[in-house]
Amino acid sequence: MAVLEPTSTEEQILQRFKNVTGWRKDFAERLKRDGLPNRRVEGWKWTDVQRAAKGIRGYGKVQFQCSVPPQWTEVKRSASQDFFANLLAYAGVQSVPYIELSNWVKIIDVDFRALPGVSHAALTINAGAGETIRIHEHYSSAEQAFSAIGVDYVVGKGARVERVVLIDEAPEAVLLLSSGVTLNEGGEFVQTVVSQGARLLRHETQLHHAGGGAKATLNGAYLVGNGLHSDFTTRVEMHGPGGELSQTAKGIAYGGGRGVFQGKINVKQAAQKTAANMTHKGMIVDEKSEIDAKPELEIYADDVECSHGNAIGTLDEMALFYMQQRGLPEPEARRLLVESFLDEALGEISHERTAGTIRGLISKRLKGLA
Amino acid sequence: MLDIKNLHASVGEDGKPILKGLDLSVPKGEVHAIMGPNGSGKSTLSYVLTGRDGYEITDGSIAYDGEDVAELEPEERAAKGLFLSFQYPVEIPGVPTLTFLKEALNAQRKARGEDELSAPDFMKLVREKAKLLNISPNMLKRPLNVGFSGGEKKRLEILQAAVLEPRFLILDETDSGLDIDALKVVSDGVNALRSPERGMLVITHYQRLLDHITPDKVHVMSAGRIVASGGPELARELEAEGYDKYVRAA
Repeated sequence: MAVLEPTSTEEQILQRFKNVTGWRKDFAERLKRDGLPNRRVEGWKWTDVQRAAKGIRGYGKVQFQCSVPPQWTEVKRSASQDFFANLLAYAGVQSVPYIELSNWVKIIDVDFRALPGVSHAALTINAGAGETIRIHEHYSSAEQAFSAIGVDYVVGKGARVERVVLIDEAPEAVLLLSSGVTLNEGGEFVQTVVSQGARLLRHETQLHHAGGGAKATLNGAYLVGNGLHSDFTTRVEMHGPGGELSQTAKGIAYGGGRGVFQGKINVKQAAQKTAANMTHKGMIVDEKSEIDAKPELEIYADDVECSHGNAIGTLDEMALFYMQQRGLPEPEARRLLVESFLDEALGEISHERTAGTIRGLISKRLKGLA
Repeated sequence: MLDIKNLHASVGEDGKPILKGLDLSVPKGEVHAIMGPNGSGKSTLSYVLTGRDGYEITDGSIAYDGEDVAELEPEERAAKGLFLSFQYPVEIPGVPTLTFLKEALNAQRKARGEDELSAPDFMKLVREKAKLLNISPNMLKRPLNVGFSGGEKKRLEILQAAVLEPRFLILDETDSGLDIDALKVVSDGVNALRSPERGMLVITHYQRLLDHITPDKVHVMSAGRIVASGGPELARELEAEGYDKYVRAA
């Protein structure tokens, strides 16, 4: 009997979901019905996965390395983290590596590398009450890899998690990277994501914020060129009173690159005294490039301080002239200006060497731009 | 040192003519002042001299040390020693002042075929010059001009001149935004840069700056041309009588 090979990425994904039950079955049916997200779906209108995934087939796999040995546990889903990218990642794995942070672990390095073909991976990190931890995550998919990777966090009461995500994909890779974050009272979650795009890249964070003095910082910098695509999407639900949120996203598109920023803050009625601000600034270097942004605030509490701002512009010609007037050649001045533009989004990386590595990477990429 | 002949220049996409036959000659070692009402083309002249994009020379010539510099890039003119102290120094977030100054100095030195200055030599040079201008080391660590007061920005412009050691300085309304004390500090800094080898063009609306920086010559600019020239007494006359008669004459 002939075995029929999948003819599309969707079919390839669905093959993995044959005979699944429970929430996986529900998800598989949803995927079968709606297909992969595409431009007709509001939250994906600028990031058409269906189109980008075309031609990627075959079983792939994700190589995973972690500086501490994780435990493995069965996948459990909470109804609050039910967004597509995260479900796709978790539905495709049977068990998930699980890191329970304890006193002796202070720094964790995590590395994900997706190989060609369609793959799924997931990781769950639980920072117990009062723990302080820094996590560096590195992603580097190969060409023709389509992967959905989910990394979920639970930040316990009074715990502090600093997360740095460096996404350095091959130009023909597709990566849907998602994080469901649960931030408990008095906790702190500080995230910085740095991306250089891919054929399609989406980094999506859904954060449930308990309030009660907890603080979340969601920063990101993207530098996307040469026809690549980078999408930062965040959704924050402020549930309890007295929570703080700060968001700074900055990005540059050049050489036909496309940047996408979608940020939504939802302040529930109970979340009085919330202080939340969101800023996105984009720089479009040439006419071939594009940045699309949609910052949103939805507020149901009446005693809050919330703001959102969005500005898209081009390189400041006066600043360029000023630097040239002091003797810097134009390409050098351009590089310095672009670097300094992104730098604001990197300010929360406390580890100097990590920040230095990221700045070096950006600088190297910018030499091509100059 | 600087010889401008029949300079015509236009600005922007619509090519609006601003400079209309300007003649000016500043010999080595002299300080000349240009005064004039708003819109007479003073700042345009400073941008044309330093090569800002969008400022088109349509006729005439600019000779600097006998060389036509009209076709050179801004950074090439800077390396040859042309320095513009901006009326509104630009804020550049994310670039520490010291880093910027070091990159600028070494870029100029490289363009002139000189060796780059080592970090300790650079620091020694900056510290020495900064002290004279009342600039704290802390200020130099901050991003260039970001959050600086008007006075701090202008002092920093003069510090940059002191470190880069240009051969010709154009000061575009250096006195704007300065209180009396800051005006004195900045003027002292400028006076310290006066030398027989260096020329200066001081652009200003008011005579008060020229009380501190005494010019060898004063020129009145109106409608894109120099319409009168004289000694320092001309500045005092303008202060007393205004620009009216020159505007009407132009």
